[in-house]
Amino acid sequence: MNNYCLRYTFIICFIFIFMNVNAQYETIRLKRIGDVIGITGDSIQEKSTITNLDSTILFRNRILNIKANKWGEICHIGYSLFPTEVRDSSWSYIYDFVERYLLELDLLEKNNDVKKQLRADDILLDGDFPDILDELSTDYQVTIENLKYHRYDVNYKRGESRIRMEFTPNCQLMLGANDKELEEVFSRKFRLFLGENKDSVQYSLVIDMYGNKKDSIKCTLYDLLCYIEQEQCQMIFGQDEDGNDIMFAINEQLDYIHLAILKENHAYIYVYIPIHTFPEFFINQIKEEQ
Amino acid sequence: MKYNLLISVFFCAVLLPCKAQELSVSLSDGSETKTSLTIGAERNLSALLTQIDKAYKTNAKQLSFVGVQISDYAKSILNDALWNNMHFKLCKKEIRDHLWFFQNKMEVRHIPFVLENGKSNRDYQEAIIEFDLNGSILSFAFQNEQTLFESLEAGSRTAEARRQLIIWKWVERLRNAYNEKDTVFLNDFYSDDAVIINGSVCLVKRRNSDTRNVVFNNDVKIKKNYLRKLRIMMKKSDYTFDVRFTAIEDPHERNENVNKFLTKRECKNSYYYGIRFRQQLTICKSSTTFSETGYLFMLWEFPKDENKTPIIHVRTWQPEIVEFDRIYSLTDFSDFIKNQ
Repeated sequence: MNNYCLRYTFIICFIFIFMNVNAQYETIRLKRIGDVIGITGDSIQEKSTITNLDSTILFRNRILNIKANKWGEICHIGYSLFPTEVRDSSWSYIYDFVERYLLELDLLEKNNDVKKQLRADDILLDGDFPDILDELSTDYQVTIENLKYHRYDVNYKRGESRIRMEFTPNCQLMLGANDKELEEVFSRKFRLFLGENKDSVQYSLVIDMYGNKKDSIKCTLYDLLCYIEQEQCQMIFGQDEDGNDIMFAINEQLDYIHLAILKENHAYIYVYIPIHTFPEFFINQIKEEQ
Repeated sequence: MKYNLLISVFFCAVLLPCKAQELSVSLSDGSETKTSLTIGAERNLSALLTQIDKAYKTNAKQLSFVGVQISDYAKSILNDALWNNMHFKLCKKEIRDHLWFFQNKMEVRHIPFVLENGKSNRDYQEAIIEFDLNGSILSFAFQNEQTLFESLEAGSRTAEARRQLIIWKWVERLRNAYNEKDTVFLNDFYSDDAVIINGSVCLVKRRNSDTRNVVFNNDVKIKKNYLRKLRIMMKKSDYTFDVRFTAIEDPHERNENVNKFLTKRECKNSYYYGIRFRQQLTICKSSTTFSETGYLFMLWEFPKDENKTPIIHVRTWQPEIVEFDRIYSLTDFSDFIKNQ
């Protein structure tokens, strides 16, 4: 009996904390979603890794998948559609996007709005929305195919029913923030990252930002490389004719490049350059030539 | 018997975590299947990198080469010439690189390390490692000297890739400025004497006939007038703008490797880039949506002085009905560039 009391007290306390502390969000878009579905609290206690916050939060009778980054900001909200063992694969950005996007479609008021949104985002969704949400469960096969010329094809198969979503890996669409905001997210998260990796200061890093703004951060080159690597970027180094080291950090899942120009003790970086409309050969050329 | 088993389990539990985890190395020579030569080089490189990683973590005075097939020369380079003077740490947990084959040896060229020379001095360097045809390591060197053999042409290609990406970033910012209705920033994008050409199409009825001719008109504006009109529209808070750029498809498909959206001219102080895309503009006003698609060409000047920001001299827009060969390009503004 006491055990039950204790358990219920704990759950009530947990809900109370969750509903009353202001949540921090990685992007404005996530905050908007959080506000609509009623996440008003911050239950983030575990801050050491990217965390699945609570898999029992329901919205319209469907389980939500909510994640926080290691600094406690909510970095993902979506319908929980993929089993954990599938999500841990290298396609994690794509799974997150599909989950969030289908939730966002469900938040639109009219069916007509859904069609408009899909058209605007250049996404092909095979199946009637929102009926397909009922079709989705953990009991299905999922395949992701990287189609030629920057298109992804996500296929769900359950028995005879099949759901297909085809889209361009546009980093702004998939991360849910425009170019200007992504630059701010990079700057903020990198500062947080530096906060926990106190190290000798060697580099003066300047982030080139929208509106001719330059954001200066003191860090080591090693910090920068570690931070970029955790974004699952492939780093390619080259040297230009003036002898500057050039780093191309390519994220092929989200089709963006961070471009850093490294000179003696300072670095200049352009972040989140979207490359989904770049000709394929240009990226291959960078990879082959460096 | 039971006692022995317990001791074995205890030793396994204690010793297994101590065994350094082998670093993952994947080398490719471009062929679909890996040969035994590639696998041998992979295995040996993984063993060497694991030992370097272990030595770095334990701050070891000497590198160990247990399990590594390596020449005495390479051992001496690694320990005497390098490790005694500075410690270095691998930048990646997984290495993927190209394995180059030569007549009597194999080589990898981009193994990324951070070198620590003193407490505050750190530097990024890539290592070149040579193998014999049995996969045994012949030599190890950081690239600062060796990169000199790479031609200047490679350097200029890197510089060009860099410039093209920066242009792309600025194009994305321009797109963002329209979407955010940021007329202040838009004003900075265009040079004071920028030329703005807006194409339109009208159907003119032929004399004595019911058929109509397509007539293309070009409305040439100066920056001031273009931005004034834009400001009036953007001031209306219930208007939202959505500008999207996509690549223009060349119907002739003359050469897949020709960079269709970007052309370049180099002048004394600047690079001039002609950039063209298919532009889709959608303006929404409450429930009304206006959408038009056309071809956009922009002539950007990128000063060689990197402290100066890029600027647009020409912006042209033509409706989608225009044939591919009639879309504006850099050649249409050659005289302008010559006079700069």
